[in-house]
Amino acid sequence: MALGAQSKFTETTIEVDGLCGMCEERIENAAYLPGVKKADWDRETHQLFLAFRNDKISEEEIIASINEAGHDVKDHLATDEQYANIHGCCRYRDPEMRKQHGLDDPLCKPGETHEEHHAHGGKHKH
Amino acid sequence: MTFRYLRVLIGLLSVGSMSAQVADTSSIELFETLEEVAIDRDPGVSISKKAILSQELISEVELRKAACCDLSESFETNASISASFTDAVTGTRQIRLLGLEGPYALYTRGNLQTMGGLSSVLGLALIPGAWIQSIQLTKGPGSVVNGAGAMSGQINYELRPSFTKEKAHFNLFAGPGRFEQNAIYTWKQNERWSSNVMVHGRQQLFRWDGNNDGYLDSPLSQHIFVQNAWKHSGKFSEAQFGLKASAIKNIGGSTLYGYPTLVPIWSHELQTERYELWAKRGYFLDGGINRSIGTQLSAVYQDLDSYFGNRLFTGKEQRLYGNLIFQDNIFDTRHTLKGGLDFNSFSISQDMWEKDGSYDGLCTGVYGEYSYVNSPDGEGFSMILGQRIDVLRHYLPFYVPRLHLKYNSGPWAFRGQASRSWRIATLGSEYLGYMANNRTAEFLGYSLGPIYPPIERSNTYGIGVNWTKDVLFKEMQWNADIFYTQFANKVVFDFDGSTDTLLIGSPGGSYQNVQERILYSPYSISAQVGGQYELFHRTMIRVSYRYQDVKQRDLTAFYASGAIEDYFKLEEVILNVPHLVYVGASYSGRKGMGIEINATFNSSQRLPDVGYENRSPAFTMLNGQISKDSPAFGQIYVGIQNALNVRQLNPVVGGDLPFDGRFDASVVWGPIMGRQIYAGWRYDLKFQE
Repeated sequence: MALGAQSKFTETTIEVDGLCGMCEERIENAAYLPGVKKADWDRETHQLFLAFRNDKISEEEIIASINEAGHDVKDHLATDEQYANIHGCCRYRDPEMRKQHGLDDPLCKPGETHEEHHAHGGKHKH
Repeated sequence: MTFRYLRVLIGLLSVGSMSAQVADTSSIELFETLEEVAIDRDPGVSISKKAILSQELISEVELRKAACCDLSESFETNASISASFTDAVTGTRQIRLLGLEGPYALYTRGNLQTMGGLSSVLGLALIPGAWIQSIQLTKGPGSVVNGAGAMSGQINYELRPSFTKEKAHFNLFAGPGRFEQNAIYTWKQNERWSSNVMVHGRQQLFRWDGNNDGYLDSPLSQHIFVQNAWKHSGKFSEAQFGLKASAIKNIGGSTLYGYPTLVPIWSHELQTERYELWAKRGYFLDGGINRSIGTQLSAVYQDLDSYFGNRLFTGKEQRLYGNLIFQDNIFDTRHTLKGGLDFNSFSISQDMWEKDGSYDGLCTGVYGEYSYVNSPDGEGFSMILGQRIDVLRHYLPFYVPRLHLKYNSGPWAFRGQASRSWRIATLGSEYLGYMANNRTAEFLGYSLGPIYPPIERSNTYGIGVNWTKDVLFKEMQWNADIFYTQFANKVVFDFDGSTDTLLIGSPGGSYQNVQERILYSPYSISAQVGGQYELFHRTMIRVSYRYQDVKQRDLTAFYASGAIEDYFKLEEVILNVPHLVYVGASYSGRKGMGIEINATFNSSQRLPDVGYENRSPAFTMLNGQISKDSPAFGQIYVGIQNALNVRQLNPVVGGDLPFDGRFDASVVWGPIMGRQIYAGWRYDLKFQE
């Protein structure tokens, strides 16, 4: 999705798990690092639109910051410690709460432990 | 929210999904609540592109940027509205919109009018900032549904709703000698019913006399307000009702109040109690997707007791207001028709300037309003055409036509309006600060007996343009507008000529042609240009320039000469700020850190022409605030007001001989208090799920 080889702006979309408006605020706030021009998460599609200066910041750094805030990014899950800090009403891995918000399977499969993420490189196959 | 879904649902059932989508263009006026700003980074103030009227939405984010203790102080970061003290002793602030004093605007809570009569100016202090969720500012007269007033615009505030995610909200504030406490508690909330209680306390405990003139810079005060609001969401209806009780006790004037003195001292006391009851009810009717009927009712009782030195100002007000609104679409959802009836029954007794200013009456109105919206996203052409007729005893019926137009194309939005308005001017309470002097009030055009309130009439013409576009992925907004309000007659308080008299009147006139009307009518012109953009990372910059030219009839000249040409002579009103520049920067960090800096430059203002200096110096108000948000302890904020320590050094003229002619505390052009530091704490307790 990069504009062109010379462009210093990168536009991309990544999938981030979350539930509500509070999550939206948290995700966008975490992604809005220096160098980021726009971070816009869609509650319905879970897609986070990013536009950033690629000479100032990398996609990995943004993803790390989103994980740090407690949210799972597709192929980059937050650790259990990071997830634990999230507000009670935002427990997006909880199947009950997902159902309430009309969501299906989480990026992080229920029952799967933190160690298991790392066992297969923190990646999920859907 | 439930209401909105319900409406869509009804739409789906009756006409199909296409129309249901368009249904968003209208709803029961009464229950139109201010939507939360749906943009990723809330800039605090957003100028609506969709609204047909010229509207700014001031969100809680913005309200948190300043000390913001009550509604009158909520506009410090906004160039459209200036707030200033009405006088040097009461501590009352009033706002000016489009160059016109506070009472020319309409104040509504959820589109139901709240202030008027005795609380025209004082009422702003009755709305604590911590209770306010957002403010919608409409420039220029708005919809006829809300009445024939709103000459300068409408200030519609939403209080924190009873149906919310927050179980409780707490706020503590401390400034120089001043303390405030707010608590809001949602004690009941289920699918159908919700209710909350709001409590506000304010105390000014210490005698503060920074300028050493022997007069309190800010009155000793004690405020207690309590409100209980209810909301019911039924299957095909919605209801809101509540009650509010407010009590204020202020002591101003000499710092020696209450102490034994050898000479008489000039002091001021004000005590008022105000009780309000309101109810709103809305029903959906079968047969149309937006067919609904709504009622609004409010009842007010206020009792006011005060004195300014030897002058008494007392009053009582009873008011009953009702409005019945019917709404439907015609042809399709692009065309909406509203119609209704309203009544306003009032009884005000007032003692002002040693005169009886009591009046009572019943004003009934009938209105119809057609609106057209080309598309739900606001693109293309939209319009509102409203008409109303009001009947008030002793007067010919008032005809009030209003037309608003808008055209959107890409980043551009163009607006235009032409509106007629009328209002009853409550002389005493609207000009409360003008009692803080020893001038003899001369009411021109009145014979013996009570002073009946003048009826003011005006026509407003306005145009505006708005440009909104993403520049480097961030929204940039520019806005320009100009409003011209032409009065058929306007109340004049003329301080010129002598320090002993205050001329009061509301001269009208008839004109041969349009040219004469333009030349000789009192008027207000207000033009504004502004923009906002996130210029640096996480830092929103906002700039505005405002020009105002406000002219009134020169009563002094006519009083002196009695000549007809002097009757039509115009002069600049006192305390008008011709040029104002606002620059604000607001940083919101990733970890909850917030820094606000804003500066407002006010150009020189005209002062009464009584032989001494007749223009104030220009000055700049510089305010700053630092805040830190945390889920653990809420928000803590510390701020500085008037960092440059600008002061009007002589707000009380002739204060050393207060009972001798020249005493005058009515002309305040700038800050009375110097540099002030304040600090506060806010905390939201969320419902656990």
